[in-house]
Amino acid sequence: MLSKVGGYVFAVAFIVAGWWITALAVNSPALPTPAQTVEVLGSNMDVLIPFFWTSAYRVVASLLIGTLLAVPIAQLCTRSRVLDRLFAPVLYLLYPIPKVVLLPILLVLFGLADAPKIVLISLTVFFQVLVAVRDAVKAVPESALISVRALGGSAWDEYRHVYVPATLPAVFTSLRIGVGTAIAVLFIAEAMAGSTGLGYFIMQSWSMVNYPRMFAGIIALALLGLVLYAIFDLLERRLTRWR
Amino acid sequence: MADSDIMVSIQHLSKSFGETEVLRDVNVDVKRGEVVVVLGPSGSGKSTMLRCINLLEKPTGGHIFIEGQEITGPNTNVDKLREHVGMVFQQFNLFPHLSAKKNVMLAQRKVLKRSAAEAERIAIEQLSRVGLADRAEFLPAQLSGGQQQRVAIARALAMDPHVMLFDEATSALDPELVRGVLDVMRSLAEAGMTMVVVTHEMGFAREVADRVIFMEEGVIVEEGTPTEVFDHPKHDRTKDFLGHIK
Repeated sequence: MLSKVGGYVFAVAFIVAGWWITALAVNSPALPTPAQTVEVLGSNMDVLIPFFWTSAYRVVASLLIGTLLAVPIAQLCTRSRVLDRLFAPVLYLLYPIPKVVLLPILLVLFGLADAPKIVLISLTVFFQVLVAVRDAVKAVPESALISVRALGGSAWDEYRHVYVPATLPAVFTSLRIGVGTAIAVLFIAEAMAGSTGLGYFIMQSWSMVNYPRMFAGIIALALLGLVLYAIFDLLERRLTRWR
Repeated sequence: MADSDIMVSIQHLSKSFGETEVLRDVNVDVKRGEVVVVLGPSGSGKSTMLRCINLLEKPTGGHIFIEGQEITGPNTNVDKLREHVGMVFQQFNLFPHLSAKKNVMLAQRKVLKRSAAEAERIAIEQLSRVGLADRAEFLPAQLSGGQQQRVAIARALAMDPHVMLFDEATSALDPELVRGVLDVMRSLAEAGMTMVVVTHEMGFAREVADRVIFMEEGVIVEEGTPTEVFDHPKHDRTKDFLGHIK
């Protein structure tokens, strides 16, 4: 435990040192030093904190919606050969399309507030989780199901005791990967439309040529990603302890 | 089928997968307490026959009786049937997220509706029987393949089966782990369990079997006591197979 903490302390020191050296070397107002950033972070807390929560709400709601829709659909479709045959080509065609290109349409349909952002990020998350869970369900060996059947288990038992444990790790892996994508999409959505959230804050600071303020927003957004990643990592370890 | 001594009776069993005939007119009676070992090359239909006994495969033709009850009729209660027929597979397929003890408890609780206390007591009892009482709290990933297979046997035994089916239970194990599993199977046989065992372990067959059946291409080629089949095989195909194995 202590060595683990030590590892993180070292990592933070390493990153801050690298940042500092780079900032001094680049010597541009666009890349302030850590000391300058701490200062602007402090002076912008009154705006940053509510924007942080706005952005956090959008991402977390989207991650939840996307996952809660994707998991049952993936499990259902994979278990039915007919559905899977219908569904697989649709998924194949839709998955590679970057959902972010739909943003302009969503803005027209849903306005400029939370809704278009949540829909867009949910869509992105949905497909990532769907693909991962689908593969995980497909990887469940027939023999595992037969074992449950031979013990007198029902279809529900197969679901509860074979499919759920088999797909849970895939859900978390796709969520951890999905956090990065989700925040990227969030940034684009907030930067393009609306007047709330960290993405807006960053681009507003940029247009005001207030680079230290801009950088404070970048740090806040990075922090949001880090916190979410850590939460999913922790949850995964808690809930899939057997691995 | 009044003969109460017959545990499993397979009559004129046939099974096809599409065009492929896997079993053709197979007839086997297994007496209560008898250990029948089924030998044969892969693809000979021996696993399919075993799976027909608890209806994991649906026979295409013929009849199967368990303790005098026809299971191939239209009104078979499959769940009820499977309570009395324990099966162990080549892949152990324990629940990876549950400890050895919980693995043995789960089906008792869900299928037999036993209380937690009773299921736990029986789980410990059966784990002791397969020599793993001290591993009760271990997760499958912390056990060797042989230990996992023994947990799978305990899991099946906890359901109080009247007959146990073993489908190549040692084929996926490293050679040094095979013996522990065979020892458990041997002690089961000695305790009077009715067993149908598909295996490639000739030593086990010779030593433990009451009767050996040799199958090839979906039919029973030859059957008899281990001495008859191993030392005096009548059919060329049996001789050929045994020659290859040795």
